[in-house]
Amino acid sequence: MNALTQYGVLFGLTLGTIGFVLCFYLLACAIGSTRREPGKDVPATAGSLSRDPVWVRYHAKYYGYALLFLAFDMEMAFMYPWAVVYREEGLTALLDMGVFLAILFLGLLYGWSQGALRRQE
Amino acid sequence: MRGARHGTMNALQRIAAAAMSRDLCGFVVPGAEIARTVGIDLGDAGLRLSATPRHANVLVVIGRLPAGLLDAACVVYAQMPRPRAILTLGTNDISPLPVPDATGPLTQAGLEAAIADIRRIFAMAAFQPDVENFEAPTLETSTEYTCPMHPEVVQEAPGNCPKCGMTLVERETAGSVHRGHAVPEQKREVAAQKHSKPVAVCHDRSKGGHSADGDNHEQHKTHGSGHKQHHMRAKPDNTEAPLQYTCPMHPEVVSDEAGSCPKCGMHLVPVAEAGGHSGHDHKAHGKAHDEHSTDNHRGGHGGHGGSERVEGVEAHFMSMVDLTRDMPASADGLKMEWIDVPFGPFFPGLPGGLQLKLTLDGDAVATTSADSLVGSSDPLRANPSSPIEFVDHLAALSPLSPIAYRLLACLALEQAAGQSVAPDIARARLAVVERERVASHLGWLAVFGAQSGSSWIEKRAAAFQLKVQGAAATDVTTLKPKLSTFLAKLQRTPLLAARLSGIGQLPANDTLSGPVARASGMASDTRSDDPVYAEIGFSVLTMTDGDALARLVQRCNEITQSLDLISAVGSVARLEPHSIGAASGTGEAVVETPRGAARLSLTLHKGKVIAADIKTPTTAHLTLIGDVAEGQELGDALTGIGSLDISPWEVTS
Repeated sequence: MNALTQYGVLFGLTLGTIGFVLCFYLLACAIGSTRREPGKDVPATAGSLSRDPVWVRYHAKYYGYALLFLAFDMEMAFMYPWAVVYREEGLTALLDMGVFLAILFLGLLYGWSQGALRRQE
Repeated sequence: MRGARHGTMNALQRIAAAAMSRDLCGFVVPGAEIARTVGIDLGDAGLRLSATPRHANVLVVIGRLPAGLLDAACVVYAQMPRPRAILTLGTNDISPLPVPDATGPLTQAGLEAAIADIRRIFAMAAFQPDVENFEAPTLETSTEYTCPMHPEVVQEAPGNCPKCGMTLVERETAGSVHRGHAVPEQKREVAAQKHSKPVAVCHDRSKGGHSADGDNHEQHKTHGSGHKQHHMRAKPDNTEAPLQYTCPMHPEVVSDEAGSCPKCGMHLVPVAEAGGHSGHDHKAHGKAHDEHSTDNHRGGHGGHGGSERVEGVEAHFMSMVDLTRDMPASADGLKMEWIDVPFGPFFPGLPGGLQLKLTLDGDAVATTSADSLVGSSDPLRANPSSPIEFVDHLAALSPLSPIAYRLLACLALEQAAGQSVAPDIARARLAVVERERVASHLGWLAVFGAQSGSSWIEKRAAAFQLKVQGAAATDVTTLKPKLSTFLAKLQRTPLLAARLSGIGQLPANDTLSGPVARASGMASDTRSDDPVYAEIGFSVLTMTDGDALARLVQRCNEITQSLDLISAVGSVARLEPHSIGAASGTGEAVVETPRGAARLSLTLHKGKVIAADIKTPTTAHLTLIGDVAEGQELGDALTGIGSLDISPWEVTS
C-alpha cells in the first residue's frame, strides 16, 4: 500500500464519519425541533421542586483513602524494577511479588472490614 | 393530543410515530404497587415502566389522586419528553393536568383498551403544527426583591431596604399557586440566606423529639453559639463613642459623618459596629469573644482577627472560616454545607405518596422529615353515613390493604349493633384477611426489589401478588410450593444478608407494631387474642435482631404462615358488610392488618355512623423514619425506611 492509497483510505474514513454525523443531524432536524419548556430544565426530583444548589462542600475524610492510595502507589513503584528482572528470576519473582501483593491486599480487606472505605466511620 | 411534538406528519414523521406507538413507556402515579392491589398488571398490558419521567412517554394515573399528588404529577408530566400522553384509569378529573388522552375503568380490560387508544393517537397525532406549552403550577416562578442583609425584607417591586437603605436585589421564587403545604415558603427561607438554614434544621430536630443521641446535643450547642454570634454582629452594644462611619459591605469606604455608601447606597454604620466584618477593630472583636466564651465554640472563631487587609481584596476573601461560619456542624464537629434533598412522592423505591425531605451532610442523612401526601384525616367522609358507605369509605382509606380495613369496619359495626357472626363466616373472613396479608407482603417485596435494584425479586413478587389476591383457597394451596421455593431462593440471594443486617435497627418499644414489632422480638399480635385464630392453631412468630434483614425474613415467614392458615380454613369468602338495621350503640374493634394493629371505635345512632376514630399502625411508624435514617448513609437510610413498609394512605393526622 503506497502513501497515496493510505491517504485515500484516511480521506474516505473522514468523509464517512462526517457523513454519518450529518445523517443523524438531518434526521433529527426532519423529526422536528424540541420545545423549550421550563419544566424540562428542573432537576427530576420525583415530583417536587428543588432549586437549591447541589454543589456543596462536605468533609471527604480523605486520610484513610490517602493511606490506601499510598500503599498501592508504592507497590507500582516496586513493580517496575520487578518487571525488568521478571524474565531472569522466573517463578521466584512471581512468588516474591505474590506474597507482597497478598500482604497489601489483606491490608485492604482488613480496612474494608473495619469500615475504612465508608465515609461515616 | 395536547402533548404532541411540534411538526407536521410527513412520511418520516409517520414512521417515527408508528415506531413510538409500539414502544410505550409509562410512568405510573401514584405507583405500580397501587395498580397491583386492584389487580392490574401494567407489564402484561404491553407497557414498559420507567423510574424517571425523562424516559417515559405515557403518564399513567391510577385512581383518584389527592390535590397534593396532582401537583406533583404535573411536575412529572412537564418533565416528560414530547410526544407524551396521559392515560387515566378510574378517574377523569385530573386538573391541573391537561385532559387525559385515553381513559378507562380500573380493570385490566380497561387498561388494555386505553393503551390501544393511546397507540392509535400516537400513530395519528404524535406530530402537530400547533402545540401549547405546559407549565406545572409548582414550577411557575415569580420575581421578588429582597435585601441582602435582611432576608425578612421581601417585596414585589424594586426599591431600597427600609432597615438599612441598601438597594434590594432580584430573586426568583417558586410560584405560590395552590400548594396546600408550606413548601414554597420554606424553600424561600432556605434559598434566601444560609443563616436561616441551621436554625430551621435544629427546630426540625427538636420537633422530631430524637434528642436522645449524643451528637444531637453538640449540634444544638454549636447552633446556639452560631446564633449568638449572629446576634452580636447584628446588634453590638454601643459603649464606645463612634468617630468614623463605614459601609458594612465596603470597608474601604470610611467617612467622618453618617450618610449612605457611594457604592451600594447602604446606610453607613459606626466603625466599631462594622469591626466584626472587616477585621481591623480588634477591640470589639475581643469583647465579642469574651461574651460567649462560656459556649462550646469550635472552628469558626480562631482565624477571626488573623486576616491582614490587602489593597483591592475584601477582608476574609475566600476565608474558610468565614465561608462556613453559620453552617451546621456534622457529627464530627466540622462545619460543612448541608443540602435539602426531596425523595418522593413518586420515588420508585418508596411507596407512592410518601414524601421524604432529607438533609444530607455529604452522603449521610443529617435530618429527615416525612410527610404523606395521600393520608386521610377523617375516617368519616359524610357525617352521619350509612354503614355500607362507612365500610366502603374505610376500605378506600387504605388501598394497599382494603380488606383488613373493611373487616375492621364490619367488626366495629357489628359490635355496636350487638350482632355476632356464624363461626364459618368468621373463619372465611380470617382466610380473606390472611390472603390479603400474603398479597401485601409480596407487594412490599416487589417495592423492596425495585429499591434494591434486583428486578427478578420485583417481577416474581409482583407476579405472585397478582396471582394470590383474588385466588380461591384451593388455588392458594397449589401456589404454595412455588411461593415457598421463591421465598427460599430470595433468602439465599448472595450478599442480601450482608446488605441488610444492621440496617435500620429498632429496639422493641411501644411505637412498633405488626411485622416491624415482631421482627424486634415483641410478641405483639392482636391475632393471638382471637379465639377463631386459636382454633386453627395460630402462634405468633418473632425474630430477634430488629433490623431490615429481620423484617424481610419475618415477612417471608408470615407469608408461609398465612398460607398455612388459609389451607387450614379451606375457603375464602368475599367480605360483605352485615345489615345493621336501626341499631344504636358504640363499638370498638381491632384487626391485625399487614402493617400492624389498627383500632377503630365508632358510635352508631339509629343505624347511622355518627362518630368514628381510627388508629392506624402507619401513623406511629412514620415517626420511626428519623430513628432509622438519621446518621446513616443515604443508601442505608432508604433501605431502612423501605423496610418499615409504610403505607402513606393510612396516615391519619
